[in-house]
Amino acid sequence: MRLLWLFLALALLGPWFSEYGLKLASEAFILGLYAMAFNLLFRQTGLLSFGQAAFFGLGAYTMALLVARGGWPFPATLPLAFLISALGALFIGFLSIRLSRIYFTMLTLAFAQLLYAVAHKWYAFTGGDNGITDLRPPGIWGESLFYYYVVLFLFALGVLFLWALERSPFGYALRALRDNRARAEAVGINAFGHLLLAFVISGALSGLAGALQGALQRSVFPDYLFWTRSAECILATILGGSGVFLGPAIGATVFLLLRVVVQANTEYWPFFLGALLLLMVLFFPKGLGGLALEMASRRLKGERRGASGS
Amino acid sequence: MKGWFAPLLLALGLALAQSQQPIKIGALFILSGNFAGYGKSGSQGAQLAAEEINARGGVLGRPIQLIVVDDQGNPDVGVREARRLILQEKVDFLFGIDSSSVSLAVAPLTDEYKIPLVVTHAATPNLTEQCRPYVFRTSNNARMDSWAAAALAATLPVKRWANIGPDYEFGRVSWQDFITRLKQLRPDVEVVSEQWPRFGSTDYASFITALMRARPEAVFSTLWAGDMVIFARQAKQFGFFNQVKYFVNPVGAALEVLVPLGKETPEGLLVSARYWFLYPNTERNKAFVEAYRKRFGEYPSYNAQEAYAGLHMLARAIEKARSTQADAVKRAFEADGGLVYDAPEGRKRMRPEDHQVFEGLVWGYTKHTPDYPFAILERMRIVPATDTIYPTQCKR
Repeated sequence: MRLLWLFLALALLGPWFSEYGLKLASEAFILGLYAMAFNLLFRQTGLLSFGQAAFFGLGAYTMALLVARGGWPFPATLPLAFLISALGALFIGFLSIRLSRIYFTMLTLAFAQLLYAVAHKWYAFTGGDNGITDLRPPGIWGESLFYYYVVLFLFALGVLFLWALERSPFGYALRALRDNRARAEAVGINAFGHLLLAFVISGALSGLAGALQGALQRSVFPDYLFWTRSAECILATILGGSGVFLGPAIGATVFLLLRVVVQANTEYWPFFLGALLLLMVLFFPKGLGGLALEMASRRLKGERRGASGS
Repeated sequence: MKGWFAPLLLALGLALAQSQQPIKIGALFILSGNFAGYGKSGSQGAQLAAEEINARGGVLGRPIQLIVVDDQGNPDVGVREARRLILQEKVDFLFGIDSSSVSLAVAPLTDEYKIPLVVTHAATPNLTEQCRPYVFRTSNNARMDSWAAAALAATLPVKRWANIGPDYEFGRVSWQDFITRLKQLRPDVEVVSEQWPRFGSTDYASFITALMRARPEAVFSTLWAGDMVIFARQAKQFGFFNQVKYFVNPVGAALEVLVPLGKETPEGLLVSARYWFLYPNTERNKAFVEAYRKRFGEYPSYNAQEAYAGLHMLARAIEKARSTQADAVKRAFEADGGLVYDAPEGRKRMRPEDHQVFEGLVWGYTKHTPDYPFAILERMRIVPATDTIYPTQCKR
């Protein structure tokens, strides 16, 4: 319910943004969706994927190739970007979920880098490091305000889906597997199947985010598949707090704003990001989202106490 | 009387302020990471030009305001920053850009927002072959460099050629352009080896030995920046430069390569850059080098001169157009067979069809002298602009 109010507020905010504000907000939602998708794995299953860029890039390249080479209209490519990244996640997940912990992480990283190499080298198909450009969706889809609503709608849809998933039996099963795999399997939960499905959902949502980002930026380049792109969703999640449901989205927004604001004023933005991350990890391990929740609950308590006192 | 005097003064003041409003130019350069040296030179060159233009009263009576941002050589960051410059800073022009992929990513924005882009470094021939109305390149591109190299290579008394270049579009396309052109000019040449180290490699040993085993008489290379510095050091230890008669590198005379190598640079390499600060020996060039040294305490590298000349050329186009409006500036660049500007390095002429500038190129053999702490060029060979004019698919 509270989520719906939030989305409504964001929708009402649309016309008040400047042209540039709309672009930034759209990018924040996209990065937010991407980080939320990552956190489905990280928080619910305890799997640290360092290859999330593989699906982000798969989605982006699916959209770009269909538009640029196939002449598809942009909206029609979104379901396909979703589907292809899901298929990619099915394949990569099938091979890597058998491994645990660091080996899983390394294998996902390896797959993402493999896809990066393909996109980087296969000039005839992907355009290599020249990328694919001129992806501005025609008509109203290319307008900032309309696109803001498209992205917001898909972001809301994704977030509500993840919210429902967390409260579903499937979500409980995932957390059971995370906390005590042997016991969960003993009660009859199919560990591999559950983890694979979570991996596929996470990949598909990441792919959707990638396709949206490609259209927003009007171009897709191999670095959509590079490992730094995988690191972005992890950083956003740490910044916002993985333990809080909306934490990754909050982290993504702050990450983006920090990048833009600090970079506009100094070229040392990685330094400020590093310092902030260090502070967060050392003093506020629950992230910005956790901090916000704590402050809100403290105020609530204070109000209650005040009310009972009077 | 007081009644109308104040509003009149206000209106007059507003009108004055209007005409004094600066022409805003948003420049994108790489200012952090491995290639920050190139971006620094570029932004300094542009800065010097802006100061000169403002000192003589600006353009159309308006001063030039240069806003320099770091694109990190990353297309996503480039697009985000270009948008910020256009939408927030309200720039009239985009300028600079070191990385080819950043230039290709930013180019579509010129159509979307009708903001012209003047590129002064990124060298992929693709950029101008897209025939965009508001994209201009005032520096030479990789194809022109390769054609110039081929024109010189055709005169060398050798047949067995090999290549070592960075494994990405620039390296691959440069070699293709070079060898195709060379075979047109000299059908008897043969290729004995192609080596493709990863861009940003730090170990070239296996590539150097593979090259030496193939026994080429001459080697073409487009290794640049730190890659060329590291390669030259390692190849020297292998005796590579003693075995190979000619080592040809169209981007090897960049000060960003020669200055870090210092006295380690092997002698007799046939190299070029898009500008060499000791050529031509004209008052114009000497004055530029002097002004640049006075301002920044170093010799101008090619990227500095290209950005300097690019900004002056843009100012000239604005002056000719009598406006900063995109279509008027486009017409000014295209009119009369293309805008001409006499830069420190010589005459630049814009081809109206594809908005690519053509210019003569200076080559030479590296040599150490007591006057400079790094190698300079001797036995200079000038490749005229006519030798680099390749056909274009663009039409206007």
